[in-house]
Amino acid sequence: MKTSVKQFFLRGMLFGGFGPIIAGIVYYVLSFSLSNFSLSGLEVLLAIISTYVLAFVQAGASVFNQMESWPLAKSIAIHFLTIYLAYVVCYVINSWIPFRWEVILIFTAIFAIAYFVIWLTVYLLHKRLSNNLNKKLK
Amino acid sequence: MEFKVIVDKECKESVVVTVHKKTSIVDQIQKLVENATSEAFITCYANEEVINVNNKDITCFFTKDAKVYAYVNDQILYVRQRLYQLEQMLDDSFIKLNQGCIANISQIKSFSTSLGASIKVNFKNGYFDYVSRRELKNVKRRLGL
Repeated sequence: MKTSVKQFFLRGMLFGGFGPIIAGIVYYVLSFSLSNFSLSGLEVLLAIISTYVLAFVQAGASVFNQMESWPLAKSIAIHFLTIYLAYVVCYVINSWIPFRWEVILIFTAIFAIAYFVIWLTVYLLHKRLSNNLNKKLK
Repeated sequence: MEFKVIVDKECKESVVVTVHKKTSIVDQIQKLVENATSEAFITCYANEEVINVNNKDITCFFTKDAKVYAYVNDQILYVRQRLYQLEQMLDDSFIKLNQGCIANISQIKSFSTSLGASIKVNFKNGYFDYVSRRELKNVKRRLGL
């Protein structure tokens, strides 16, 4: 467990910096798309911190998927919940989504579907790859 | 270039390469022959005991708390070299799986899919590790994919 916590922070710190870079790119694109696009200093600061936290948690949470002692359901559930909570909190704080239950419900549904599709795609790709590697081992 | 194989049980086995100049192909042949015929050992430590372990018996080398260890069957032995030094020393029967693990290909039992979108490597002795995204391309290439 101690190693996993260490791994969580190590991975988080390694990839956390990518969050603000992505935020910068999104804002840069928005500045071209929206005519009256402007942000206050506080909004920029919040966005930088939030996207750093999102990338940090996203990268760190990959540790949960490698906890072999955990059952499959627990591993996926904790991974999902950790990322989901980070996203909801950051989105609400930054007012990227309004703090209304119906909006959060829609956001949750979209998040869950996207999460499942991405997980399944990567899982199937790696399953095919590991099968091919096993054939080469023989 | 002509390639000739003479099967003669009476003669002493040898590989003779006749070329105009030494090229990378010659180096590869030399390495291949040397690896196939020589027994390479690595010095490991178990407490105060010094053990010379045949490379073939090593499952993998891994790092833990900034130290390098060799997994030999069910035994974990301390190795004085750093992982990057071992990487340079070891022959093609070893492959780097991630920043902290070099595996003996012949000791790999199977590959499987981990839940976290990475490839899990299961060794014959029950130990396991993961292929990092960075090393995945190299692992695929080394295994002929």
